[in-house]
Amino acid sequence: MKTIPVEAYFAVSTALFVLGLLGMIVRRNLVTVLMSLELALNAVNVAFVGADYHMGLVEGQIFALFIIALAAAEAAVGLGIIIAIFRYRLVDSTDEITDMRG
Amino acid sequence: MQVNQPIEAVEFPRLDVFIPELIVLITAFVIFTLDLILSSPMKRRILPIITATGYSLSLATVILLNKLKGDTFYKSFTADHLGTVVKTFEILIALTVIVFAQKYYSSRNSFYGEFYYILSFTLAGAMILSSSYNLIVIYVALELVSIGFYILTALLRNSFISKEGAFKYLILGGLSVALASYGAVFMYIYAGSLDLREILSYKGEDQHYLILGLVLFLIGFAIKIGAVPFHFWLPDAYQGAPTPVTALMASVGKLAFFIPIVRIMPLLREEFSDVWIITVGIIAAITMIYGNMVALVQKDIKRLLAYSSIAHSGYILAGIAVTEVIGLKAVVYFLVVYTIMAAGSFFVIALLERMGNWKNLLQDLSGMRFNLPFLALSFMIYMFALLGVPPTVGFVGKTLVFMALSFDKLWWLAIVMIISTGISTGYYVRIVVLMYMKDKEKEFSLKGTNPLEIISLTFLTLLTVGLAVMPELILNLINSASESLFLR
Repeated sequence: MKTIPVEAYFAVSTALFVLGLLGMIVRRNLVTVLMSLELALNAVNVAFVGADYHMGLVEGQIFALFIIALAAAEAAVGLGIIIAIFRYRLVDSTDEITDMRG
Repeated sequence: MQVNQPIEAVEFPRLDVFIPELIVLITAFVIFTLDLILSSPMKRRILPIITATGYSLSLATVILLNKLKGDTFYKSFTADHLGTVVKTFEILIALTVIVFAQKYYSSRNSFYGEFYYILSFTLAGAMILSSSYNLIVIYVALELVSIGFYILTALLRNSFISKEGAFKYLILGGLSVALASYGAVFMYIYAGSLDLREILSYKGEDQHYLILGLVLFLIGFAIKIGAVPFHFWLPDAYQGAPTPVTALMASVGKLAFFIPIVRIMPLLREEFSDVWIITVGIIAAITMIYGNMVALVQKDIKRLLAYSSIAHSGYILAGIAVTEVIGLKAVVYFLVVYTIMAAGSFFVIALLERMGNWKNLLQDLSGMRFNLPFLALSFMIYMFALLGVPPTVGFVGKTLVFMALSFDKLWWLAIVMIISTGISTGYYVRIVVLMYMKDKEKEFSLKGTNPLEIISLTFLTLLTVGLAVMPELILNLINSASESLFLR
């Protein structure tokens, strides 16, 4: 039986990570930026589980579980901050939250 | 851990090395519960006292148990002398933050009970981050500190820039965590272990994964400490945050985020030291130059100190580039004394910001010695310490880093350090000139200072001078901590 090599998992996760990174740079909507961040964190999960499957260990999967839990916590805080921004000024674009410069 | 390994009886973990963290965590949960059941006026009186009591107990246990060493929780938590030194200063600064936070928040009409338990969770995260080699624990503690900081930055009523700073911090901080954990993947696939000691002592045939992992891990932490190509969030977050929280981020945060890099440095093998010196040295050089150059043109004091904080990350990174025990000693000394200088200078601003017509601009400082002689004096001492004038800790720290650099023959980095210190004279001395040689433009008066605030500020100022005049007070501990890290 031919198995999937570990490089394939890394290719998928790198693609996801780069997509997330691009989303953070290119997109302007605050919620979309947050979603891109989550995508980048999930790319790490794919890589960890792939590496685990390759080596027959479980520690990476434990790490992935922690990442899932803490990414959710971070998203909750991020959404809270976005709501605070929106209630204050009714903006949802990164171009409009640039009060501080220099 | 193999998948089909039979599980034997689970060994009971050693708890004695974990007591200080445990006390801070219990404090956090107690405050969390009290915040839900108490009425608002009660909270204002009781929560700071309970928090301070918990931290003091924790500080006492750190100092009493300073001889304890060893691993616990299946090697995921390591107590050693470095941890003791770092934790002592982290708790000390957190205690002073409580003192200054109380009046600051009530003057801004934004007292939140949340502040106290999130501060406690952040402190617990910083303490755990300071004493672990396990990548999972480092990740969880890193997120604990970071999420705490995002919330604390945003907790200021009627301030848009605090939300803006928090959002920028959240996005860049999340990116840094993603990069660091992506680096952890490559280190994991290289060695099949998540313990940094095992990863760096493992001799595999394909070292590309290890180098890639280390570089990504380093970039992740470079974002957190504000090293230059990745520093964009730092001035905004520092300016937007409530000033006591800025003091916390500049001291406890910086200290905690540096420790994993400090712990990697002695573990590096000979063949990597050239790559390490080049990478870290170049980041350090541009960080020093850029931070000081940009600080020259700032008009806002908090922003100026934020750029000065970036420049200090550069000085500390320059010490980390020296992979010898002398470099480690210099770095640990500079790190712990930088917490005092940074926290103290931001506390002075926190006091000044309580005055009604204070705009945080540099001109507001002019003639400060007439209005507020005590604050002007202590601010001058902090400025001289940050600049590195002899009877202060900044001088001793910079000298130690310089000695380490010359020991390793890294002359180019030493010269960059001297030049950037010269540049930094421009803005530190300008502040002193404004305070002491200009006439006053506006009338300022500070009302209702808590005596505890004056005592804490005096204490920090005395430490700024005292730890330089008598460095052996902490240098002995730092020496034994650094040497024991290199023995492995």
